[in-house]
Amino acid sequence: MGDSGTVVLSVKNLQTSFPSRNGKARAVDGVSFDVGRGETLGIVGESGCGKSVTALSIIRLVGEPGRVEGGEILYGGRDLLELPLGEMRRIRGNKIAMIFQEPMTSLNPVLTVGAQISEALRLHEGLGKREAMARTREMLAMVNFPAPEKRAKEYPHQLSGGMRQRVMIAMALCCTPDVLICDEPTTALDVTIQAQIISLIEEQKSRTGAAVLMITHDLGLISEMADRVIVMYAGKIVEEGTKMNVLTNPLHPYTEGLLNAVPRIDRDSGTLDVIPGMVPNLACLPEGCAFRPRCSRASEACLMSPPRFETLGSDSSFHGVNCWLAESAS
Amino acid sequence: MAPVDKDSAGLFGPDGLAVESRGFFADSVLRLCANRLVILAAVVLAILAALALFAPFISPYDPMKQTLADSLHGPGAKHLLGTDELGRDILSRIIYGARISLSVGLVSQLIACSIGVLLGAIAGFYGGFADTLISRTMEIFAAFPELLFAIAIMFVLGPGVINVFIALGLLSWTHYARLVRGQVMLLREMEYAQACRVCGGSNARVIIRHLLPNCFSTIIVLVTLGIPGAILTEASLSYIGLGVQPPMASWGQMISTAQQYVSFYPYYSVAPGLAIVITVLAFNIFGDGLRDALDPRLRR
Repeated sequence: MGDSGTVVLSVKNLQTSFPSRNGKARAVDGVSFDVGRGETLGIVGESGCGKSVTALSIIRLVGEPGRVEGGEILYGGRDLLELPLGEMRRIRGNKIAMIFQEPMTSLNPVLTVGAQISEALRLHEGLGKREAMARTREMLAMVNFPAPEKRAKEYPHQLSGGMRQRVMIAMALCCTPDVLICDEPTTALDVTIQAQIISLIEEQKSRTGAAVLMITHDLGLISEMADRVIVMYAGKIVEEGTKMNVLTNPLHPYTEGLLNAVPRIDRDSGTLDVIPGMVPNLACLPEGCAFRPRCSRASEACLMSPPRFETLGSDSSFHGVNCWLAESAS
Repeated sequence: MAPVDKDSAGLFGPDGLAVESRGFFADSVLRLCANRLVILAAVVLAILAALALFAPFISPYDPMKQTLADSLHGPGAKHLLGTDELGRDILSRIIYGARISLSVGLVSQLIACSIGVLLGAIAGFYGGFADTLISRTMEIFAAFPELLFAIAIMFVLGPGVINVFIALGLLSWTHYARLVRGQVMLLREMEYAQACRVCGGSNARVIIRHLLPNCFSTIIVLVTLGIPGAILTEASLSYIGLGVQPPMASWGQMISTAQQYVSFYPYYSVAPGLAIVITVLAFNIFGDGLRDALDPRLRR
């Protein structure tokens, strides 16, 4: 599937669930994908559809009482789910790094920015205090920090939101990871800063050749950055394909709905389109297709059983969808 | 990005005025110094600490030296604060007593703090059975009346300074544990704790490097406010004869002895009593000031 370079990370049939009062909530239910070197894979969907849990499952940090129950996460020929905890820790932050949504709370208020960036360096590369600080200053300069020597000694509250997100990026990239997971990296930032952060991530990706997993609900960000796109709904992949295929020719009514909900500068409509209803309770999904109650084109068939994943198109213009409509059309 | 002058980068506020950037510590010291009463308390504490440290050089007499001929003399030129029933210089005994009081206060709180922070952090971070076990133990310890509990421990351990340290440490660790447990429970959900794990940090690293430093200011305040309590309890223990043993000088023990002479020589008990009051008051004022200075919500 990977259309640019070798596959770095491969997720196969991932199952993560949380126990709840109404039974097991399957937050991630049979998700599979590959990311290749230098490739950006976008994962989109509403809040609560399993994007972030997928990311946390990969680094095995799903919070209690959630549990990864099945599947494989292959990295470097090994299944991460099978690794002992100590080895997993050596991979986190070193080979697989992550950028969070909220730069305001992701930095420790009582430690200097420099100390926090050098922490990963000291953990993974065994650098001494002074060497780590030198590398930290280099990293800060790389993420376009003015006066890195000075800024390394400052505390998070002295920095703006955009600056803090730069610190997070520097922290994530300081060990040159193979996989960079970005969980809504620009959501908390204003638009001009978003653009800077996006170009910074792009720049660093091309520098290090890392595979990027871009988790977002911002389709504009996807059209800007992603090579391939996965659309998730209720813990499952409902549509997958190259960016062009998914964004210009959506096959799943949910993807279509998401695209219609994006305000367009060339269309003069008074109100924005919305997808009616809400993400279903994961502990008691509707029968058949999980999207059926909200789908404008649902039919009898949708009620019967969940649709199967249909693949269309060849390798270079891959397109897959999880919908009865597409099945009947083909 | 436009090139920015190295020194002025981002250091100017929206109004063009230089925004002074201070660290947390420097800021707190400034706030602490803004309160005159706190400075006074700090000066008193510094003097006490100096007295205790340099007692052999400062005290005019050997605190153990008995001159029976001079016993129960009132304050005068020879003995500034008078002498006790065995003719020992009261001033010297109070200066040496400061050693006992301060070290009991500090050491017992450090013991309490070590036990409390460790157990509190474990309970708060891991929750579940560890939390239940530690919390119930905490409640059992806290259920005893403090002085009775101290007396019971001293009775088991036997009198002596070291045992006073241990008894008072065992007495007050629950304050620290309860506080740290609550703080850690709150802080472990912070994203920077998760960020440390994502960077490959272990649980121990998350606790020690990220969570405890965030509790530091509250712990410091608790130590400062716990010391006067420990000093009072030590005085009480010595007063009833379970604490520091004669001939070592302790304020509580001096008051206890002075009691016998209170009808015709009341001055004897006033001096050590005042010493206790001043020390405890200074610690309390300083602790309150410290709490205000370190409270981020009061930051302007």
